[in-house]
Amino acid sequence: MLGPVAYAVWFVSFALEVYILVRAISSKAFLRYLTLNLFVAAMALKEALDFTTLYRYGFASPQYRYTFYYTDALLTVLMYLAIMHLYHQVFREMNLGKYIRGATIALLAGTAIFAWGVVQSNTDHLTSRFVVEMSQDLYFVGVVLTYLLWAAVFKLRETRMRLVQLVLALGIYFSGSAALYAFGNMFPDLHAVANLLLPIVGTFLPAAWAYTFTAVPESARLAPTRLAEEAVSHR
Amino acid sequence: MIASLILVVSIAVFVQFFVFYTRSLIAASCKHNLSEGVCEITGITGQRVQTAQFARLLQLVELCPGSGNDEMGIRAVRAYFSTLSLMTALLTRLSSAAMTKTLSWAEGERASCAYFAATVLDQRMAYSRTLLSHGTSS
Repeated sequence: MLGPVAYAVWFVSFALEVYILVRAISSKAFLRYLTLNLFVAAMALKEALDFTTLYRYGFASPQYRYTFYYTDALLTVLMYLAIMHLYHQVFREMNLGKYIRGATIALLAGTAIFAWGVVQSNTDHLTSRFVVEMSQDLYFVGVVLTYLLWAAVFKLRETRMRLVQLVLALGIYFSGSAALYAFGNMFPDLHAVANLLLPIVGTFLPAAWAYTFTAVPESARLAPTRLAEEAVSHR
Repeated sequence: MIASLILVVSIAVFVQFFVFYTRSLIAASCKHNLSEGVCEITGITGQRVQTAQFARLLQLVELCPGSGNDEMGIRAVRAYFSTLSLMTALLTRLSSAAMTKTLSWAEGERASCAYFAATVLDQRMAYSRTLLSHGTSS
């Protein structure tokens, strides 16, 4: 059974996602960050779907469990597209769009083949343990992709502060989720801890993006190399 | 085996991203020059904010109404400051040269967090003043 805190976290997540979308539409920035906005819309849809399933079938029902984990896996794949959009932004001046599109298709095809292979060899036990393991792997691919993206941001001295913060928030979300899924997989008896922290990590991403889109203007600049200096010096 | 590897790598990456993210929030505040008003209220001299003032500055921030844009940043920096404080408390007992360097780094980071809090307070005070002037003029 979910407690009031879990419901509050859920509601806050949904509200933040709706806020990001409304703000993007009202500030005419929806198309500029199309993939990110589509991802946020999918997140909001997932929250609504999870809630409907929970309300109808209950927290302990297999329907809720499968809805939660499988929509989460689909969302992670959609997140790969969002990461590729950010790659496109970082490399846009180098005219590498063609290669990034190719890499996106290869990544999606690879993920589909991997998922198909895993499902084929586990058709007799598509249990929650299995979905936890799959989510852990999918999130970890996200960690690797985001880390490489961050390395590119660093190497190319990308200074757009919005982009820097979007990438860093994504890195926190992916690495936090991958760590929690791995923890849940390693210690199934302690999965309650992971279940408690996962929604908090899930809320962090819309919260951080909402903050970035609201408080950081498009023109703001920040050299990422400054973040790696021993201490951020102030005036 | 794979799960433990993913756990360790993910935690290491998480810490790195979290430190960079919080620093990106703090870095924006470092360009800000504190106003005389905020220095007077908080007793800050020059542009240097003491680590010990962090908690008090956040209390003042909570008392001062803002536009609501900064809540997320405050939470992240508060979490970063708490983590650094915990780390400092744990490392103080050890006295090797490497620990001393880490401690001085943590102290510098905590001072940056305090400066961030002072900047937020300054911005909120400016926001309140603007609201007040709009209220009196209309």
